[in-house]
Amino acid sequence: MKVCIDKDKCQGHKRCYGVYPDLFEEGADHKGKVRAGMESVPDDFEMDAQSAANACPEGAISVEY
Amino acid sequence: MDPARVDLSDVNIQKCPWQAYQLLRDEAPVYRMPDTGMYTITRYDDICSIVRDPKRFSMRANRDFLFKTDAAKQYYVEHGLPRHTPLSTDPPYHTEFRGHLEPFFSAGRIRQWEPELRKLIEQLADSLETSGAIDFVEAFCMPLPMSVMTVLLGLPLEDHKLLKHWTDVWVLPFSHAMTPEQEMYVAQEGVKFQHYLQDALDRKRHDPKEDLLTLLVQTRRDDGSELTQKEMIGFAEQAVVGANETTQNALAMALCAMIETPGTEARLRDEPKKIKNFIEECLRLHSPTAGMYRWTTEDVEMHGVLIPKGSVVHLRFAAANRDERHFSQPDTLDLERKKAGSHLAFSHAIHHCLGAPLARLELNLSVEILLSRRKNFRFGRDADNYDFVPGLALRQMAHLWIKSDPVGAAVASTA
Repeated sequence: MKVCIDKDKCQGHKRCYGVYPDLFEEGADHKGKVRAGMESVPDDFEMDAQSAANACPEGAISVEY
Repeated sequence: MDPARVDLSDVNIQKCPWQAYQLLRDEAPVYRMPDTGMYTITRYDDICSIVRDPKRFSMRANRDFLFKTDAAKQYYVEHGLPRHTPLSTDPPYHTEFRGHLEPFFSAGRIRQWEPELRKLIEQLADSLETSGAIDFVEAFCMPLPMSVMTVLLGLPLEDHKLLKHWTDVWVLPFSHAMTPEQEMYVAQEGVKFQHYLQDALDRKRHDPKEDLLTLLVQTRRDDGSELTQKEMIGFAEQAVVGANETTQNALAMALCAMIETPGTEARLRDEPKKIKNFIEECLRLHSPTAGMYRWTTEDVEMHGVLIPKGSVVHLRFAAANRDERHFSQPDTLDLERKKAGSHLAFSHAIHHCLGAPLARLELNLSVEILLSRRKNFRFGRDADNYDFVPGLALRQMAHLWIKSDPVGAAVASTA
């Protein structure tokens, strides 16, 4: 699974790194950022990545199977 | 079935709504229900857009629409606090309020509770009657989520029955219209619930622990102020209520689905890694929160239908979760389905269920532990093994009669 954040849609709600800090962190622009090495999501975190995509207020996170 | 006559309050449709949902999705994606006047949305993509549009589709009226009688509303005003849960608010206030609580419910922090949850679930699984048919709802599904929330809140475990009673009463207004007497009863019990929580919060000030009630009294806003009493109680109420029936029903419907889908138990036993896929498919196919509400703050047009300002919009998650526009072969429980987790059982966006990681952990552990202790799950009676409680927003199993054998039972004894 791949996960990425659309910087144009992201409005800095912080929910991704607030709730799923294993996958996301705060970027220098105060927007969400996928942690280095997590763009290809390990099996154990696939559900978290999908949930993050569901919960993002702006729909800025997308996952690709 | 005529799309203009579909009535989701009809008990028979509630038992088996799938054909009605298909009809609405295909022919009336914005459907004004004849009796309540609610505009019901059934397509996946439409619900996804609406929940990302809190300016036009608000939660603000959530508190008020529950009580029709002034006496009940007034009871709360005189004796308790108005309901004030994050679910009943909009941004920017919602963002700040919820933001204080999100870290406690984050997937990582919730996983830290796993050892305690395991113990609770094991105790409950071991206490199940081993011979004959049991009502799985009463024996397991009811006590478990409430016991878990009691522990997370930092309340005495033996209080879980009391909390269960109050949460059952709390959700009554969501299920169906109430008589004035019922409304008064809900108000009175609601205030008792609030007083109980207030006492518990006060105790935590003197005896803080690593639990949710302590978090509420210790939270400080950017300006150093505490959460208000109304906010603390509101959140505690929401946590208890949110944890209760939804998880209870998800558990019951998951076990029912395992029994009704041949080969599933064997597959999950052989490949425990598939339990999480199974849980997501059960949430998708049998959404315990069948739908929730929003209120339009302006006129909105969708699919050629005008939804006037101030209308109640009903987001039918259960229908959207079987929308073939998003899920292929939507009625099939498919353990290989990649997009299973994209379901709307927890909704999406800002009001996405805060407790989702907790619910998932409880569900996954429950299936794992039940399979480790029992096998050959099957219905317990010849007929009428399960039934649903009438209600619009929640899909609730009234009972589920099952039988099972202990793992490790001598093969010769199975009849």
